[in-house]
Amino acid sequence: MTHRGRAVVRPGEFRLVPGSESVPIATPKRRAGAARRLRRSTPAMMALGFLVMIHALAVAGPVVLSLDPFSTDPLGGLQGTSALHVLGTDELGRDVLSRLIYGARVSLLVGLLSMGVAIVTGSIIGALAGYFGGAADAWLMRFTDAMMALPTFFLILAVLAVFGGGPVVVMLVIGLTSWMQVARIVRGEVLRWRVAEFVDAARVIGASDGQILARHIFPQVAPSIIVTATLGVAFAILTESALSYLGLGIQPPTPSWGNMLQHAQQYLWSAPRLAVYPGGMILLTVLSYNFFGDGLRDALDPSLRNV
Amino acid sequence: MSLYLARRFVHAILVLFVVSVLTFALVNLAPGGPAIMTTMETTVEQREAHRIRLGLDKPIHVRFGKWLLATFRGDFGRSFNDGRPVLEVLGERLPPTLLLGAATLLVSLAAGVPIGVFSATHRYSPYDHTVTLFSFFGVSVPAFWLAIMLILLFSVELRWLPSSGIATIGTPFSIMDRLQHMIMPVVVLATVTLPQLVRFTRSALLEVLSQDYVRTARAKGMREPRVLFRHALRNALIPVATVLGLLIPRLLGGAVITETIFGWPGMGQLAVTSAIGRDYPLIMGVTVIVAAVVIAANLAVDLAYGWLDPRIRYE
Repeated sequence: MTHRGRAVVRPGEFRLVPGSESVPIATPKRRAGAARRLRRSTPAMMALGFLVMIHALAVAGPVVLSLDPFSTDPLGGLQGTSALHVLGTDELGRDVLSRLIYGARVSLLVGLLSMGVAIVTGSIIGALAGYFGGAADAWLMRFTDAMMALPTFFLILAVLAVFGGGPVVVMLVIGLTSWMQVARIVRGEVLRWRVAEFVDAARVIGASDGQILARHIFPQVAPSIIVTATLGVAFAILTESALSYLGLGIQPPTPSWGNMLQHAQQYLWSAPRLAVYPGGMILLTVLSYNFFGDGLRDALDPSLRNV
Repeated sequence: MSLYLARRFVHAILVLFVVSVLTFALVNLAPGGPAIMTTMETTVEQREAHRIRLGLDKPIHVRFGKWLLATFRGDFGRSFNDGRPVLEVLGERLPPTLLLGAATLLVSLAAGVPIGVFSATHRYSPYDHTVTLFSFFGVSVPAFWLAIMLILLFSVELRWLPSSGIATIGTPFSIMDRLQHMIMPVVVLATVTLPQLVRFTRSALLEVLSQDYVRTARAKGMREPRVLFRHALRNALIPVATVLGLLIPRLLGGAVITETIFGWPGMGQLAVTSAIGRDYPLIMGVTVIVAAVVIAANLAVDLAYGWLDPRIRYE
C-alpha cells in the first residue's frame, strides 16, 4: 500500500486520496451527533422507552410480582380481570400477569443470548474473511452464502427433534443459524477499514493482526454490529416464540410468550384474551426492537437514509 | 452464460451435499441412537438384532455412503410412524407447500412491486409513511398469532372462511372452495414477504432514480411514465430478484407455522409432526428435500438474474 499525502488523519477529515479511505472515523464528536439524531426520532425514542420498561419489568420481576406464576388453582381457572388477578387467570388458574412477566424474562433472555451467539460467530467469521481476504475470504463467504440459502427453520426443527427443547439448545440453535447477516456486514466493514491510514500506522509501529483487529478496526465496526444485533434480537424473539408455540422450544411449565399462546389456542372461544396478551407482548417487543434498530441505523449513518 | 450457470449448478450440488452430511450427522448424534424403539419393551438381544439388521454396527462413513446411495435411488427409508416409504409421504406433501409458496410469492410480487414503486415516487408522503409503518408491523407480527387472530375473526366470528384444511371434505373439487381455504394461509405468509419486497423495491428504485442516466432521460424531455417504466424500473428489478432468493428460505420456514395452524397438509406440517414424533427417517427426508427445493429455487433466481443483468453473464 503506497502512502500519499499526510500520514496522520485528523478526526472527521475526509481523504480523497486513493489508497486511503474517505470516510469519517467515529470520534466522540461524531458519536454525540449520532445520539442527537437518535433523540430527534420519535418512533425510536418511544420504542426505546418501551424496551427499557419491559426489560426492567423482566429483571425486577420476582420482586414486583406478588403472585407466583407457577401456582395453580384448578377451581379458579379462566377468570377475567379481578382485584387479585389483574389480567385474569389461565386454564390452570395461574395468574396471567405474572406469567406474562416471567415469560418476558424467558423470551427476552433467550432472544438476547441467541443474538449474542450469532454476533460472536458472525463477527469472527466476517472479520477473518474481510481482514485476511484471498482464499479464506472466498471459502468463508461461500460457506456463509450456502448457510443463507438453507431453510434454517427446518434445520432448527431437526436439531430440536434430536436434542429436545429447552432454553440452552434453543439459544444455541437460533444463534448458529442467524449469524450470516452479521458476518456479511462485519466483513464489509472490515474490508472498508483495513485500508485505512491508521491501520497502516499501527502496523508500522509493530501491532500484530490481532491487535489491529481488536483495538483499531473493531471500534469502527461496532456501530454496525450494534444495529444488526438490535434487529437480530427482534428476529430471535420471533423465532423462539414460534418454536415454543410448536412445543419444541421452551417447555412448560416454564412460561414463554410462545408456549402461552399454544395453551391459549384451545380456549380461543371462551377466553380469547389468553391469546391476545402474549401475542400482543411479542408484537410490541419485536416492533420496538425493529423501530429502535432502524432509528439507530439512521442515526449512525444518515447517508443510508434513502432505504 | 453457460459458464455462469455451470458454476452455480456445481455450487448448488455442493450445498446439497453439505446439507445431507449435516442432517445425517445430526440424526446419528441423537441420544439413544438413530433407531430407538421408544414404545416397545425390548430385550437386549432384540435390540442388538435390530441394530445389526439396520446396519448400525457398521462405521459411520459406511452408513453415510449407503444412505447416500439409497437416496440416489430414491429410497429415503421408511417412516417410523406408519412404515410408509418416506419418498411417498414427501411426494404427497410437497405439492401443497409448493402451491402455497408460489401463490404467496405471486401475490407478494404483484402487490409489492407496485406499492414499492408508488412509495418511491412519492417519497415521504403520508402514503409512504403509512406503507413504511405497515411494513414494520408486517415483519414484527408473530405469524402464528396473526393466524390465530385471523381464524378468530373470519372463521369463528364472521364465518366467512374455513379455518383449516386444503379443501372441504366430501365436496367435489371446486376452485372457489380451494381459494377460500387458501386465502388466510397466503395472507399470513405474505405478511412476511410483502413488506420486505415493498421496502426493497422502494430503495432499489430510489437508488436507480438518482442515477445519471435517469437525469439524462428527463433532460432529453422524456415523459415521466416512460422514464419510469422503460429505464428505471428495469434496472431496479435486478436487486429485487436477488432479494427473492433470500425470501424463499424464509417463506418456507414461515410455511411450517402457517401449515400447522391451518391444518394445511404440506411439508411444513410434516416437519413439525415428525420432529415432535421423533420420526428420524422422515425428518431427514424433509430437511434434504426442502433444502433441495430452496437450492433449486435459488438456481432459478440466479438464472433470472443472469438474464436480467447482462453484466453478470460475462463475469
